[in-house]
Amino acid sequence: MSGGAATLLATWRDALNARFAQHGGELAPEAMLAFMRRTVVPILDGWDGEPPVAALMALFDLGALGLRVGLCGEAEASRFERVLVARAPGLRPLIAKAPGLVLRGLGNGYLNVARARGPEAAAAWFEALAAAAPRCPEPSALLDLGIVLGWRAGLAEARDAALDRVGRFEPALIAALFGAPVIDADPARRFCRPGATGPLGPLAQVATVGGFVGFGGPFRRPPRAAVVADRLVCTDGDATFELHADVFGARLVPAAWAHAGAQAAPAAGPCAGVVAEPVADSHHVRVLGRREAGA
Amino acid sequence: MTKRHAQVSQAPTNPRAAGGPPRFDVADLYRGPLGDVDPRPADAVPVDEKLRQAYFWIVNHAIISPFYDLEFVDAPPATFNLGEHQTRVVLPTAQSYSSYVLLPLLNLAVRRRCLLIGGPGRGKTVIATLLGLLAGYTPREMKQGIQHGQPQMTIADLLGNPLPSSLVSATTMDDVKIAWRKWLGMRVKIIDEYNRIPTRTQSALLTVMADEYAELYDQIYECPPAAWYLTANDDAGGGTYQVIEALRDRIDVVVKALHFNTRFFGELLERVESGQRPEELVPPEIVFTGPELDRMEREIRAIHLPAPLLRRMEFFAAQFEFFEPAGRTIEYQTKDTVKVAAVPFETFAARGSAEDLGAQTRNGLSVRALTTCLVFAKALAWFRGGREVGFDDVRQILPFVLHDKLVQQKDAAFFDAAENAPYRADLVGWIRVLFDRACAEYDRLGRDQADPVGEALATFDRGLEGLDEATVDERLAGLERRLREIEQGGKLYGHLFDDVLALKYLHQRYTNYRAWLRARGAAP
Repeated sequence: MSGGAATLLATWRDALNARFAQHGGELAPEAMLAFMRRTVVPILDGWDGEPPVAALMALFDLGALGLRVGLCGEAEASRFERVLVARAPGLRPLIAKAPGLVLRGLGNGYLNVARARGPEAAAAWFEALAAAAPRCPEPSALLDLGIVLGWRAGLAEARDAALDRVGRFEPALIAALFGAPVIDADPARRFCRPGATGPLGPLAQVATVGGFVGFGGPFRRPPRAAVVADRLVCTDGDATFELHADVFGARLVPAAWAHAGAQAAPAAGPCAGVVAEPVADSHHVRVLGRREAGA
Repeated sequence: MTKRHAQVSQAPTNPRAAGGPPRFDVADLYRGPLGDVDPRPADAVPVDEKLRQAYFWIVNHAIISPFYDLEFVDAPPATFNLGEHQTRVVLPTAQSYSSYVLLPLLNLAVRRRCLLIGGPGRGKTVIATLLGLLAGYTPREMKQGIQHGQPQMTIADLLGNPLPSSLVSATTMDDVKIAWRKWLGMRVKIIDEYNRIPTRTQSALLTVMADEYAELYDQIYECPPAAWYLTANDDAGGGTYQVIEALRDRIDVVVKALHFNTRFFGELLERVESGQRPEELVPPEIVFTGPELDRMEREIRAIHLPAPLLRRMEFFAAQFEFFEPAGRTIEYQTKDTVKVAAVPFETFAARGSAEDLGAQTRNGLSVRALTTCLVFAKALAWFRGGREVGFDDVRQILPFVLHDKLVQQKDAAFFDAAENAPYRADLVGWIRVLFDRACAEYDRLGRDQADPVGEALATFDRGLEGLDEATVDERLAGLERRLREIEQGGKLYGHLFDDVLALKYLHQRYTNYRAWLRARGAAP
C-alpha cells in the first residue's frame, strides 16, 4: 500500500471500524481485510489525485455486504472483484461522481443477472458493462447501459425499458453492443437478430419455458396460456406468470396482478408476436415466434 | 444498533391506487442486498418520495418518536373516549405523521426557520443535526456548524473576526479582511439554545436570519438560502435572556419535543449497547444534493391551493386582528393599535363572548405568518404526494405555524369552561379548535355558496375599463347596501371588520373612477 489508499485508510480508521461493527455481524475480520487488500487498495491507489472518502466508504460497504451474499470472495477474489479491479480505470470517474450508487448498482445488477441467467451470464454482463463504462458520461448512463446489457443477457422482461434506452445511445455504441447500429422495436420482429431486415420466416418454436416445481420449475400442474390486459400469461390455477420472450431469451415472471383474470380468460392466441403453446401432460410451455427467413 | 439501521423504506412510501398492471421497473435490476439504487438521473428521482424515505428512516431508525399527532383519515376512523375528561383518541386510517420529525423535515424543504422546544435530553439537537446530514454535510461539518447559545456569546463568536494582520495594515474599513465563520455559508443552520444568547448578539443573529447577510466592519457576507433550526428548553422563549420579539417573529414553525414513551425503553437499551449514534448511520440514498433541495422548494411553491380553501383560510385569519375598543376610527380598531400605543391590554375590559374567536387572542396575524401558513400547507400537501392543498393539510399544519404567532388571551371567556381550560397550555389543540370553529361559522354563513364581498372584489378585479357611469353607480349602491346589512347585523366580528374595510376600499376605487369619468365627460 503506497498511494492514496494508505493515507485515507489511516485517516478514516476509526470510522471504518465503526462501519465494520455496523455491517460486519458474523463476518470474519480477516475476510474483510483480505477484501480491502486485494480490491479496495488497488482501486484507490490508482486514483488520479486524492481518492474521495465517499469512494472508500462505498467500497468498504460493498465488501462488508458483498462478502455476506457471495458477491465478494472470502478466501480469494470473486469474478466480480476481478472485473472491478481490472476495469477500475474506466469506472473510477463514475465511482467518483456517485460512489454508493455506482458500486451498489453494479453489485446488485451482477447478483440479479446471476440469479436469473446464471453466473456465466452475470460475469459476461459485468465485463461488457465495465468495458463500455468510459463511454458513459454520468452514472445514470452506466446504469442505463446495464439495463440494455441485462436485456441482451436474456432478461426479456427488460425489453421495453432497454429499447427505450437504446434509442438514446449513439449508433456506434449500439453497433458495438449488437452488431447493428439500429434495433428494430417492432414486436412482430422480436425474434429476429438485431440488424436483420429480411422477411419473416414461418412460426416456429423458439424456446421452452416452465417446468414442474419439484424440478425447479414454477408450475404444480400443467399450465395453460391466457391473455390478460393484452399481455401473455401462463397459469396453473395456483400461480400465474407473465411470459416475456424475444431473440435474447424467454422468461416467466410472477404476475399476481393477472391471476384472477387468467382463470377466467379463454385460451390464448398470438400476443405481440409471441405464441405460448402448452405441451400436453407437461409442465412446460413451448414459445413460438417468427425469426427472419432462413435463420 | 444493527445493520437494519441502514435500511431505507422502499418506494412508494405512500402508495396510491396503481394505474394498471405493473411493468418491468428498471430499478428492479439494481435492487438487492447491497441497498437499492434508483437508476434514474438525479434530477428525475421524485424528491417527494426521497423526502418520505428520509422521514421513515428517521422515525424507524434514528429518533424514537412513536407519535402520530398529524392525523389523516380517508375512511371513518375508530375513536375512543378515554379518561375522566373523555379525551378523544382517533386511530387514523390514512398515513399519519409525527410532527416532531415531519415539520423539521418540511422546514428543510422550504428553507424556513423552525424552533424545536422541549426539555433537555429530548433529542432536539439530534434531529437538527440529522437534517444537516440529510442536506449533505458530514458529521464533522455539522459539529463545527452548530452555534451553541451561551451568555458570553459575542457578535464575533457568531459571525467572525477581523484578521489581525489586515486590522494593523488597514487604512480604511474596506481594507479590513474578515474571517467569517463557516456556518454562515451552510444550507442548514443550527442555533442551539438560542434563548441563552445575549440580546446584542441576538440582534446580529436577527440580521442573518431575516435578511440573509452578516455585517462586520462595514463588510458584508451574503448567506445562501438556508433551513434554520433553533432549539430552546423553554416554550415561552425565556431562558437566560429574553428573546427579542423581532427574532421570535422570524420563527416560522414551532415543534414541541414530545415525552419519551417508556414502552420503547428496549430500543433505547439497544442503542446504548451498540454504542452507535444515528448521526453516523445516515444512508446515502436519503442524502439530498444542493440541486435536489432547490428542486423541492420549487415543486412545493408550484402546488396549487384551490380558491375555496383559500377563502376559508382568509375567513379564519380575519378573526383575530379586530379589536373594537382600540379606537373610534374603524381602520384603527385593531389589536396592533393597542400594542403600538403600549397600552396594557388589560386596560380594556373586553373579555368577549366564548363564541368570539377574536377575543381569545391578544394579536392578529402578520403577513409573514400568513405567508408561512401558505408555504407549509403546500409543503405538507406535496409531502403527502398531492398536487394541490387539501383541507386536512391546512387543518393539520396551522397549529404549528401559528404556535408562536397567536398570543393567547388567557382570561378570555372561552377558557372559563372546564372543557376549554386545558387549551391554555395545549396551544396546538387550541389553534386546531379555533380553525374548526371558524370553519363551522364559515359553513353556517354559507360562504361557499354566497360571499357578496368576495364577489364584489372579483367583479372589481375584472377591471374598470369601459365601465359606464350607470354601472359604476349601480355597483356603488350595491356596496352601500352590503354595508347597511352589516350595520343592521349589530355586533362586528373580525371577518366582518375585514369585509367593511374591503367594501370601503372598493367604494373609494369606484368613486375615484366615477370622478374621472365625469371629469373626462366635462372636458372640452
